Amino acid sequence: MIQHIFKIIWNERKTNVWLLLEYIIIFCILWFCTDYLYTMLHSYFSHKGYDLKYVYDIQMQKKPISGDMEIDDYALAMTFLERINRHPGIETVAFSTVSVPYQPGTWTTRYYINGQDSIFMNDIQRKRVSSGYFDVFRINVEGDIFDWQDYTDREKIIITPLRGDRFGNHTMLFPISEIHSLDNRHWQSGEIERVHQVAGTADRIIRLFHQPAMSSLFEPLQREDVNLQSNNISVRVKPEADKGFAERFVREMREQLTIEPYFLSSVTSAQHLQTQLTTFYGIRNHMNSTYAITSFLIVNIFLGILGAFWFRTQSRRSEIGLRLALGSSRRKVQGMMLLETMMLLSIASVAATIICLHLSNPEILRMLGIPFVDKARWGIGNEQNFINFGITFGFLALISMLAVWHPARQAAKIMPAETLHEE
Amino acid sequence: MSIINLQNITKIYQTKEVETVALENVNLEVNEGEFLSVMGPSGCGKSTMLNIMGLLDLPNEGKVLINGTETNQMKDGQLAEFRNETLGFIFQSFHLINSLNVLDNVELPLLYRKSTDKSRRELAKEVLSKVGLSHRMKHFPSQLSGGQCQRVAIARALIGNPKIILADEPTGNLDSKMGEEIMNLLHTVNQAGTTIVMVTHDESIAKETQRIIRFFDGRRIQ
Amino acid sequence: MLKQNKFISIISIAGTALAIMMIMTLIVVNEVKNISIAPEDKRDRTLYITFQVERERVNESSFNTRSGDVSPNIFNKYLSDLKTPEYISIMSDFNPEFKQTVNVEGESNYFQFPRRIVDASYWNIFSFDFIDGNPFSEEDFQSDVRNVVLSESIARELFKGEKAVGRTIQINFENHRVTGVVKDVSTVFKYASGGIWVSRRSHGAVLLVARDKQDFPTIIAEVREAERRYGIENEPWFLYFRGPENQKVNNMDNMWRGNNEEEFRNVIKIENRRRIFLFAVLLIIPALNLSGFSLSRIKKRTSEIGVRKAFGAKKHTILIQVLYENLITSLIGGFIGLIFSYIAVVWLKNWLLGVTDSSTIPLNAFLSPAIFVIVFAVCVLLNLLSAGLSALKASRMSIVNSLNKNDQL
Repeated sequence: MIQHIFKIIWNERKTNVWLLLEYIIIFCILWFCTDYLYTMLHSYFSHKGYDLKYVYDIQMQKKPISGDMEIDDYALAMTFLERINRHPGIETVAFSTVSVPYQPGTWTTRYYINGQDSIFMNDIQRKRVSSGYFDVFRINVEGDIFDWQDYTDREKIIITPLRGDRFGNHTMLFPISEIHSLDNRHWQSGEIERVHQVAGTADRIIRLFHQPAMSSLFEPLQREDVNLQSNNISVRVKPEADKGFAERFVREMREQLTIEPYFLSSVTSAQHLQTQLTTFYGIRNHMNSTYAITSFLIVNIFLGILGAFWFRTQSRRSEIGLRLALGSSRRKVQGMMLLETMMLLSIASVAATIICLHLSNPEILRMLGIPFVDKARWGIGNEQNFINFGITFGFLALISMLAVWHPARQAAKIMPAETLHEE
Repeated sequence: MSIINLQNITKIYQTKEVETVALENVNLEVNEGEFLSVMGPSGCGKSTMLNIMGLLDLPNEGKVLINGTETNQMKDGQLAEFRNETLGFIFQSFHLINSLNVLDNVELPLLYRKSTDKSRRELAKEVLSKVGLSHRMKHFPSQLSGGQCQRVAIARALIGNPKIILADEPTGNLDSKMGEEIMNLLHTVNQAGTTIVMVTHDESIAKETQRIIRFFDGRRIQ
Repeated sequence: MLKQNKFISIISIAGTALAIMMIMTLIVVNEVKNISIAPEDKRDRTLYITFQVERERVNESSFNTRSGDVSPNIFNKYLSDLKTPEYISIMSDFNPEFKQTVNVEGESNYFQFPRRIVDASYWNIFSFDFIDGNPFSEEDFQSDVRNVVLSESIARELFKGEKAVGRTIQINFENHRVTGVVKDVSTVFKYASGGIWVSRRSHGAVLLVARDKQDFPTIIAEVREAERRYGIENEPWFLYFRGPENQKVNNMDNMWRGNNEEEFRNVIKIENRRRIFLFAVLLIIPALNLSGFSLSRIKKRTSEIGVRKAFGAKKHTILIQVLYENLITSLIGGFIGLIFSYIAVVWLKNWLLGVTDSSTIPLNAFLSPAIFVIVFAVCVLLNLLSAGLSALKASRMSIVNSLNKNDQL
């Protein structure tokens, strides 16, 4: 039967070439849409290493200072901590600098590994946090969490892997258990400035879903870096207090948290801030555009197949009548049209896959300004090609089946006697 | 024993405005091995009767028994199988599939049965040589003359080795010389044991057959 | 026969409508972002500098780089005194979600409102609808008193219907005098929108408004000259003002537009390629579909065309007839598509225009004559792409063949 259908496709190549061409183009574009969306969505839905639910960001601001006022920022922060902890909705509070996953900005420094001179990495994210940070963001730590206010814990750090249980970057990976210390050196003299001892490890952290994960290092926030205005203040609230928390908290705490010269400016949900941030990076725009293009292509191929097979049913009415007369059942006629579509798709998919594999060069995609995934940095291998093929083919097959269903049913409804006399 | 038995067949075509009675209470028996001609003017219902006999159309009333089997209650799949195995068709306008070559056209009925590529191919070659077209196997219908096309159609009807062949004006589109060739072929087939029912309006051709029945206005008159 | 055609016509119209909808959505969004309408009614003669890069060469291959939006110092020294522009202004970003603590002086009822920090010249660039009071003047701007202009809705919320002009409000516990109240401005307007406009020097975007579009090259040359001056005064540091960008470039989606002229040009090149590619996809895919349909349709009408020709129709008459018939479908599809693109823009304004839910889109941008001309042009183009081949084929059929069309199985 397959051979027979193949013959028909070949003999009708003049009309099939349009459909085939359309299939190939659509397959190719969908391939790249799949490639991009799969990686993004996979990252979006995977475990990010932290939890932003019930987390809020508290923004404090400074009033204009009159005269020369002495400010002990650390003491003010302690007052703040004491007062905020008294609020019944608050579970934990954390101070940090450039460390929260919902605000722009990261900080990377060159680190030497285990004191070795030749092994260093430039892209380890450095985060300065108070001890409460791990509770606020629900970060699973294996090992000890430092006491940020204890001076002897000053050089204790917690590190996170890049993927699996490996620490490093996309060119260099080490088992995380083998990392004992990370040190900074002076950029000119190469003298060792600080040696951090690994006290614990945590789960891999995906800061924002559109960026590949990076290894990171948590170190204790120092007393002298504490500042109510410039630190990020994050709080985890009790689930039962979550509803309407921001407004209620501002109303109830405005006066108490006016700690001259600082005052409470705003309270915002961390999830909301993170969404805003990815919107700001244009990533949601990219994804929405990809969804729009995908839907456009899908609807078009649907209409294309619907129309083409409708015409085919019309112009082959007598052929179908004849087939019925010669002993084909209605179901077989329907099946033949389905099979014909699937074979067209299969032929197109082979051609399209070859094209896509050759076009996968990031340079070409970059030149066209198409959002794409840097495979090396994401650590994505060739298995992605199979995923792309599977999803693209499956999706197109489903749509094609839906589209051919109506014409096929029309075809099978034909009474053979009727069409055989339509001359 | 009769191989085809039509009992009280009535067929009415209904459109929005008019109701046309194509067949009215027709009874007919065809015996095994017979070569029967059906005659009558255009629109007398003879083609309709042939379609009903061939299970291509359903009567409004009456029973169709073929080879002793009652067909009225058959489902689509059973009907298809039955047509495929018991009946062969020949049409006035040949009804070959233009996008397939001669060999593929002839093989068509076997596609709907269990058979291997090789056995199909061989059988097709065999029947094509019977109708004298071995040299045209790779040609497409558009490259053949009318008579050749009809011979291909006959080969197609024969390949399934059916008990009955139903021919609707098989010579209608052909000149007399070619028509004669086709009739000779059909007679050969009939002598080999196949029952043939042929609709025609050509007296001279009908006379060569064993029995003639005539239709007028949806009724059998002879 | 009629029903078959109806079905195929519906599919064709749907295909056309979808293509036109996608294309027109892009164009309408572009139009909304670029058309000169109040309050941003000088967009066509405005140049934007939104990014500055200061660099110091460390060695052959590396630089120290400071970059960001234009700083007040740089603006004061190098941009505020350009000669050719009619108006020069620097203003902060406006993020409606980034709110400040605001209260009426002497009251302890605190509100959260977003603000934009602007200079006096800002008020010349945009046409605001003042309900009460005035914008602050250059003298106001220079004075020690901080001045603000409020949007109507914020003034109403703060003062509960009392007169706002002349009163004092506190923003982050700092006193500000209200000089005027304006009608609310939609966030569609990237630079004119605001809630509270505060008079102060800020870092941000610099707008250079020319007297005439033709002055652009002169202004750009003056900006380059300012960069040179910086280079001389700040050796070994040098400066790059990105752009200056015209309205269209300023509205591009991607934020990263390079750290020097070469990168900037490259980004624009890529953006243009991306647009062409996108339009090509949006046109070619439906055109392939429709081509297939119209070829099938022509095949069915072969004998009709044969008859027409036998009775004297010339090649080009057939060609035009087929194209013309198809154009009707294209135009119906185009019209439906345009309507849907409006719906899409209004419905998806959050994504497409990056505006907040409450703001409205100016109607003028939707109904500009340019839009209708473009729709028509796109329809004709799509028509040519989809029916061109079949029309050509029909016009070239030989009479005998088409009359004797052997329409068997």
